[in-house]
Amino acid sequence: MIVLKTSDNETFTVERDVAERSVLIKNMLDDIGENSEQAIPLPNVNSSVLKKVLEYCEHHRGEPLPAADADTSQDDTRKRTTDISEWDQKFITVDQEMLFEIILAANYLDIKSLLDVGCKTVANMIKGKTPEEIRKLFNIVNDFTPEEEAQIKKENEWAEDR
Amino acid sequence: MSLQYYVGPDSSPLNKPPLEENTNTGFTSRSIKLLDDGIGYLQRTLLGFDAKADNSHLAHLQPDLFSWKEQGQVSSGDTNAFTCHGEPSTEIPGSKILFRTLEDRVSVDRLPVELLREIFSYSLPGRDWRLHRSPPPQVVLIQVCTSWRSIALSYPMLWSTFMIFYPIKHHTIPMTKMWLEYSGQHPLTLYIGHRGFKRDDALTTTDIVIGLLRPHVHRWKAAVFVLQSGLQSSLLTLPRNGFPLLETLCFDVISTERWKPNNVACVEDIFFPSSLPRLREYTWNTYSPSLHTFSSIPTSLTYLAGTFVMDLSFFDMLSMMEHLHTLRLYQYKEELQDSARPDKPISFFLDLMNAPSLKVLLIGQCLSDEGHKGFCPEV
Repeated sequence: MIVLKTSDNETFTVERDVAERSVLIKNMLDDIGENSEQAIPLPNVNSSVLKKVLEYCEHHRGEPLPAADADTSQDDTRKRTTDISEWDQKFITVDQEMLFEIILAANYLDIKSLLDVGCKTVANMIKGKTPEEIRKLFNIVNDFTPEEEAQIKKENEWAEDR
Repeated sequence: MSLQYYVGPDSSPLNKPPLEENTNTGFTSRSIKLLDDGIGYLQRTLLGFDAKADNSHLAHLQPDLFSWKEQGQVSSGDTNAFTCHGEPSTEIPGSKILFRTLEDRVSVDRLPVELLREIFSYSLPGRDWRLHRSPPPQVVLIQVCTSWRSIALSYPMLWSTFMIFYPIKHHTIPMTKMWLEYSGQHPLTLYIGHRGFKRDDALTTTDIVIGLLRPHVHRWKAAVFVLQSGLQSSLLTLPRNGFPLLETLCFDVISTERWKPNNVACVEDIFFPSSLPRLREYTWNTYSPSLHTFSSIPTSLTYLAGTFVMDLSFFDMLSMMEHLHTLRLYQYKEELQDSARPDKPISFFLDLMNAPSLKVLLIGQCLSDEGHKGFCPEV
């Protein structure tokens, strides 16, 4: 069993194969050795987020991990779909703040599949929306000056012409 | 920042009794200083910044400084809380109460550039997207805010895929120019398709687009042409030996107009003058058999589909493709078959073929445009 310590000083005891879904934790465990009972500090993840992350890792335990030298050339093509499995979809149905926390945690912990689920979810939220709708959705401030906005609209009017 | 309520740890200066009790109304300068010191102490120990420092602005705090923050536990009216600018206070373990600012909330702005790029790349259109129905997602992203604009425009991958399903002059040409401008030197993926589209300017526009893409053939990584016409004249102007990165090549002609043998020879001469070093996926469906001798096609193919002269040398060549996992062969209609009719049934050759990696084998008749779903691999 592995002990993980969150930024808010909560500890989680998890099975090694669950924890090792995180490449970061796996590497740390490799570094500190098999029998260390030392808690692994995760200063960038709080307990509520780690709980969610571990729920994901638990569900996907045993699945093959992407190879470290996996071919990333497919990333450039449309082979990348935004399909998300049913369980993952349910799992990632959280409020926006938690969604971004999960993405940040997955990135920090180096859990590629979870990062993909998070990024795909945000991408699916963006798809088909206008710039104004995206701003509203994510509470983004439109910081273009009126002149810049007019210029950008003019440059891209070909795309709007239906 | 204003301190409204506080109950602090014993070590806090605020909990130390003043050395001189002020018996008059109002504070002495010493008690005010103590209060001030107390606020400073709280700022340094709990919030991680010093208000007396020149650069101390709450808005500039890194949210990571709130390493103990517990989200979503907002208490109101608690005397153990202190608040700032009317923001709700937040309770943390150990009965310490802190405030949260809007800046402290995790929002899309908090995502680092590389993650936003990842998200942007997932928002790119798939094959169901049509330019004449909705604007390209890239163009939407660059209109959201200056930050997103800067991130999207400086990410060449985002502009390196040309999904041109229905070439329409006033959409497709500006899009192609813009994509070429921002794709930098990134390898390009082209999909030019005419399927199900009957517009007069489609063929002309296709020629213009191929003309714009011609100076960039050294960057072509995948090129898929699903053509309605017999042959786009612009294809014949492409350079020989100019495709060092090409991994996927597809000619899928969906009209019933056969390519003339000399046109077949010309196009094959362009794309197979001395083999394409990186070619992995190759589709040739032109209603005319490929004239090319397979001896110069790379044996590293993993996907092969189309109409070929299926004789012994062809299957011998297939046997040398040890990574071939998909093979889709289409025979011509009887009336077209004279020149390409194998002298033995295909099953005879298949029995001789050695294909250790083959997972998909399909042999069938060529279908009409309405019938077939396309031969090209997914791009």
